[in-house]
Amino acid sequence: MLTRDLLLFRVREGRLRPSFIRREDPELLALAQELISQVEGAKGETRDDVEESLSLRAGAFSRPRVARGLVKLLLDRALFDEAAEGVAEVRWERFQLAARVMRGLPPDATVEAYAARLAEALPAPLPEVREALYVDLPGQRRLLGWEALTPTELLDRYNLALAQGPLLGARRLTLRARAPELLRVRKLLRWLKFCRLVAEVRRDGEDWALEVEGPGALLSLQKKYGLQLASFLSVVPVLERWELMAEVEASARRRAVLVLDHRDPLVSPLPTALGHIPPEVATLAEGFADAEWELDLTPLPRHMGASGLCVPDLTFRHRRSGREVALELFHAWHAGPLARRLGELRSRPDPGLLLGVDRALARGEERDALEAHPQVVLFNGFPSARRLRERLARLVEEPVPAGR
Amino acid sequence: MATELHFDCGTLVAPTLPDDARLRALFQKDARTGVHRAAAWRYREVVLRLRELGEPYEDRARRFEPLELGLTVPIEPFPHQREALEAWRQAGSRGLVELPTGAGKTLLAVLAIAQVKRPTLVVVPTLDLMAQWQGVLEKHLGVPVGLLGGGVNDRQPLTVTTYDSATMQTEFHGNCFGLLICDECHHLPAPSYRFIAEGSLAPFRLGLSATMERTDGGERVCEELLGPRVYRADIRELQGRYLAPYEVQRIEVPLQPEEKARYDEARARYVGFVRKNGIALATPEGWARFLAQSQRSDEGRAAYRAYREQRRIALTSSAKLDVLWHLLLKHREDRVLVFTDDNETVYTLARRLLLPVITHHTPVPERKALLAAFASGELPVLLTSRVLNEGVDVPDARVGVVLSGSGSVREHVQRLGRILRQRPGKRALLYEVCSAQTAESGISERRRQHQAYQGGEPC
Repeated sequence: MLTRDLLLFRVREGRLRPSFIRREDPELLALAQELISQVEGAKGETRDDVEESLSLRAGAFSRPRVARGLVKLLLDRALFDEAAEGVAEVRWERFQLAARVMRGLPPDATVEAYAARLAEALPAPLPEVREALYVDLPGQRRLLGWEALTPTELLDRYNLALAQGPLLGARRLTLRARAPELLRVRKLLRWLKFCRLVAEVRRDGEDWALEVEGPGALLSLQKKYGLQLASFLSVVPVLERWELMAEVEASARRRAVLVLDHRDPLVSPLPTALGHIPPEVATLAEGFADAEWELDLTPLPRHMGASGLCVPDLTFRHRRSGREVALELFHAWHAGPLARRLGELRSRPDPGLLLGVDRALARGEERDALEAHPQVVLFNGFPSARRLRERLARLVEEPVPAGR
Repeated sequence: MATELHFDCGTLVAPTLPDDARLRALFQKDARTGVHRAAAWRYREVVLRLRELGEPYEDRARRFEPLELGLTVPIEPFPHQREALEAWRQAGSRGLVELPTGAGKTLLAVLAIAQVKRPTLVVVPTLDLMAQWQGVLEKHLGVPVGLLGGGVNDRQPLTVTTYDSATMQTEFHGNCFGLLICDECHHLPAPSYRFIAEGSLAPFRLGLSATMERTDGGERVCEELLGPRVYRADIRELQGRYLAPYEVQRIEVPLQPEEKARYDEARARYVGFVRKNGIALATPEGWARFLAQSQRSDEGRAAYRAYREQRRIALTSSAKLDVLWHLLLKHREDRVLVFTDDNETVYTLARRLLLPVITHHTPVPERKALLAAFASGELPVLLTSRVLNEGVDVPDARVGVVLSGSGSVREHVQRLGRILRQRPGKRALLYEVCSAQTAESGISERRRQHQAYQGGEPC
């Protein structure tokens, strides 16, 4: 993250736009390479020296604030050693000796006389003792290594940090995803939960709109969740076409709306893997044919219990009534999540959710309870299309619960 | 179906609620997630209302139970401590107690914990205070006390943390403590800290401070989140009985001619820039405006450098250092605390005189050892910037030297408080050394506008 003094942006007509740098800017790539080389060559140097040399280089660059931002991101990834052993002990001895010397001075002693007595009593020259006294301060720690980045990655982190900075003062953000791939939405929703945020999710045709904020944002709490919103931003570029808006503090007295979209040079630092749709699910989706119900792989999120978020694997939609029933699958290794979900359903019933549970989880005392649970479909390996059609047919016969 | 209560990241959540207007008024319907949501601090009112209604409820929010706790050795409280504890108990074990530094706020908190017998989180402003509270609580309650902060992450039923750490952690542990104690609670109204009390379920709350006054009316926030002010005693009521009598001496030292010339030149450049740009430094945004303006031109950057230079000269003039040296010699048999405004000054002094320092860089074990050596007299002088301003117990200090500092009245009162712990025959002395004919003498005037100084004798 960048500190406030390093954030570069413009505000025009109430819209705040970060002053992004071009990822392919040769001058900046050269500077990034130079700074990286400088850090790589500085192993063993003190933090003060590393910071000073990087700052001098940044100050000499044609855009010093951009350069200082790059330096800040580099230093954030640097690892310095712990305090040198023995320094505190030696310091302690020096203080004890100095206290004894001071007590032995005549009442009219000058500070020069004190220094002379110290010099006599110390086992090393006084200037050296002074120099070494606080050699374990943070600025004296030595560089061990750093989280390696390429010059392009460093510029990407800088652009992301420029956009994250204003979000630290935001209370919520609005994200529109244009016809996103389902796996990208799934990744986004999982990251949302990871960031301990909640969202009101609306679908508008193929587009998605998310109002993202902290759980307490609707209350008059002082907590802003800015760090979590900034962290959430790092997943947004996973979407291919998107727009994001958030009210932020442009300055102490001025509010503005941060406006970002997919044309901005933002790159997600998260691993690129999107996960995959399991082949069984894909096969089921292809082979599921039913006159009454259609199958949708869209990961429509559902809020569960007090604070859970479920991203179901499948959604069935009744062709005539439009009623939706989601299916979430629990395999043999999902015992914990299943117990949590069953608890959440007890806290807040959700008749629009079916739980597909592998029979490996239905053992012992739990078996009867799961067999009898009206929302559980047990399966071996994977629920068959026939079992699902039967279960859905029963739902049609049951009245739609009130409030759904 | 019984009403369920859950804790979610500093909020209280009920999937369903009985049809009661008073209860529902405490919550808001959360359209995002379909539940009812309230700030966690409403927990006490919610539970009391559910009980009043006779409604069944399942409390899945609370993660604490009553504790078996008792005092290792009975404490005989001072009358003002007994009165404060009783007033707090009568207010439902919620509320604020305002007592001057040295009047025994920590022991009052020990008595409150022993009375309430609930897991307790104590929030303090500094790492030094965190270590000090841990020691006091362990000594009087005889149980391990956890720490959260300063690189330590050890949560126990009794835990001490800093405001900064608690701000980050409340959404995770806001349901784990039944009693929340905010030491130096005048910090709590700061927007970034308020969530510590807002996001906690703790039905019992105690706010402690020597000086609740805030220029922004923030004391009302403390009253809303911690409870009403239930007890107050001011510094003059307790002086001589529970606090040492004290004397404040102000020593103005002239700058050397060469220093004065450099000071005048730098100040003229700095003030000239401020005036030319119409910056009103007396307004709340004045300083931020100066900083922003000064970074936009060479002239501004020169003005900023000049500001730092004139300040540095005023704070560390050679005459000031001479005065400090003479005070240290004069009080060689006492414990002397020296306060400066910034770390650079304090480390410069430490290297020059080989004296120990406590700043925010000092690791917790070294802080403990330095304070213990200071208390025993092994190391009779301690230098510090601002970390010892608040609450840290240095009972054997008799002499304080404020070598430089801000104009904050609170900061000065708290520095005075460091040397006021009662000892038989003790008379505390606070020297304030400021450079004459500089802006610093105006700062000194500002901070002396507190009643604690009205009884002090001028030098």
